[in-house]
Amino acid sequence: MNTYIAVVFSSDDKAHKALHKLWNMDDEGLLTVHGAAVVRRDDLGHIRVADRNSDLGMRTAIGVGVGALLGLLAGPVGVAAGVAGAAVGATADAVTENRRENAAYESFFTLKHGQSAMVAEVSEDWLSVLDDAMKPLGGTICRRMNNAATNAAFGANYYNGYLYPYYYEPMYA
Amino acid sequence: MTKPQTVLEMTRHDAQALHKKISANIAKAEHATWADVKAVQADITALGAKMTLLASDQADEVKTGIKAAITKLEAAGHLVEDKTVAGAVAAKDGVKHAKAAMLDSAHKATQALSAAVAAARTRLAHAIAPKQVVA
Repeated sequence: MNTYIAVVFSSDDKAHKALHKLWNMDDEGLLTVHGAAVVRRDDLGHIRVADRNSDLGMRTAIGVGVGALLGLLAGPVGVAAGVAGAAVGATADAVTENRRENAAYESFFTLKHGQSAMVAEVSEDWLSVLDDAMKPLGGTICRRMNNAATNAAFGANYYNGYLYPYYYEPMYA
Repeated sequence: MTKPQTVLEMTRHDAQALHKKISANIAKAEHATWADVKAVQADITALGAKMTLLASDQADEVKTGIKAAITKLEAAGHLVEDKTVAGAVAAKDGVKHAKAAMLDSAHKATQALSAAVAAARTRLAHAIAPKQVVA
């Protein structure tokens, strides 16, 4: 099953550990990570991507894409709470329409001031594997199915290139 | 960080490394030249060749994704310097666009290979999953 996930943590450090853990699980073949990034909401309410140290010039482009993805994961409540990203308004409507269809697996999150989240697109055969791995880190996992209906909300290449397709050391601005 | 185990996973690792390399190059675009572009093109061509070999063994859905990524890689591998473009700014723009195209192709390759790896792992998971006992 292909899913988008967001795992919310109280600190940057834990989100980084979660990113590390996620890619380790990929190494072990427990799931497959297609892309992942760490985001944080600062005290002013702005959500920023923790980029790779060497990617300072790419921050804006990455941020807009992840904003769209966060809109998908956060749902109308999260959007109202101030998730950044140009596509978020349209996303909220689509999320509402698709909510019932995938309700069995899905939940939404709100990133509060000072919190961080690891967002990712993964393929997982057993949901419990990721759930069990994130539990010791104290993270709360939110999932959305990656399917045609969900992706239609964004159009083509909505987050193309915005999630890193490999492990990276996040830098916090 | 990745510890590749199968040929498919090793090729995915190559694509990830290539994406990382191009991404890092883009960050220093101010000093980038066509020589940098050409250096990466060799890696792109090599990755395209590996993926072509892999594609035949994949399920149809995955194969389509890999073939699309190969097409992108081939296009990025054939980008050439436009010698008629004059001026330092225009030349820099050319390098910038070439690198963006290469990053996009590397990203497509990584996505396609990740999908193939996921499909292979799912097949394995189904094979080893406990079977339900029928009374």
